[in-house]
Amino acid sequence: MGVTDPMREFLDRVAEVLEVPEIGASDDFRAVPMWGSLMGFGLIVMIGQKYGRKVSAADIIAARTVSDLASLAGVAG
Amino acid sequence: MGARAYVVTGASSGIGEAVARRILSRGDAALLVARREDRLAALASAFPAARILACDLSAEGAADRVAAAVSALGPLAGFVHCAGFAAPAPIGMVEESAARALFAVHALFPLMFLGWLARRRNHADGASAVLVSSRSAREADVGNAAYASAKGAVEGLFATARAELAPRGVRVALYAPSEVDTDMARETWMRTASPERIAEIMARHPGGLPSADDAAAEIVAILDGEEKS
Repeated sequence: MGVTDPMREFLDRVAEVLEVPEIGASDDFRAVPMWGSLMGFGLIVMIGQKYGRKVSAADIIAARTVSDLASLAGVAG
Repeated sequence: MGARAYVVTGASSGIGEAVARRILSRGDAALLVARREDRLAALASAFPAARILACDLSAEGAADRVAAAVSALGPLAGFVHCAGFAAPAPIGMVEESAARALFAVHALFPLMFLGWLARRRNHADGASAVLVSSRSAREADVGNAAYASAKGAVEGLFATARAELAPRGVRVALYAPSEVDTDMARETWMRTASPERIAEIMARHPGGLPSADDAAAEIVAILDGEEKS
């Protein structure tokens, strides 16, 4: 049985929302091919569903990297 | 005419709370139904003719529980169904358990409760029921697939229920506002919509968003038969 890496799990979840095979913590999440406001909304919903945090559109607008999103979700790493 | 008795769901906040306050403030009796007992108790504490029932209306058997509590009030003059929630998500991220609960609270509960009302004839002459829908039921608002489906279901209920209950002297009305300033709005679209989307929405409300009490005033007018739905 392996140890779950919360950041690895978060990166996987972000990649799924952004419809890319993988993404790194220091990557700009807006740089994905399908980026748009619906994806920003999807990130808000994913963080709410999986991490119980109520993130706003303003929070997403202020974020630059996937690592910023992890902070919003309360994921350490 | 003596005091009339009502049941108001969603009475813990927002439109339901505002409707309950208007009804109780004019001296009528009301059963207040919602999940949050502390909020219901605080509201009821100011009104001797208020009764409360803390109940999750998405749960099986909820209509029976409300019916049992309502029976103590005597013949009902009105039923206002404001209870509900929204769990906005892109359609690919909808959680089935949330979607089931949305259908259950928004549409299944009032279907079963109106059925009890019709079956038991436990209503006063000229009783009315107000079902709450939303502009979202018919507009393509992103993120509202499950919520709009549930509100579409209650609109379907409205049409049949109105036809079946009219011969029994019960008026069924549908109240379908666009955006109202409530906790639910603040927790959903006000929090998650892009600035552009918010500007689009606010452009439809040049005088500002209606308050929960503004919506409640319209609902009470419908209950009293002063407005056509």
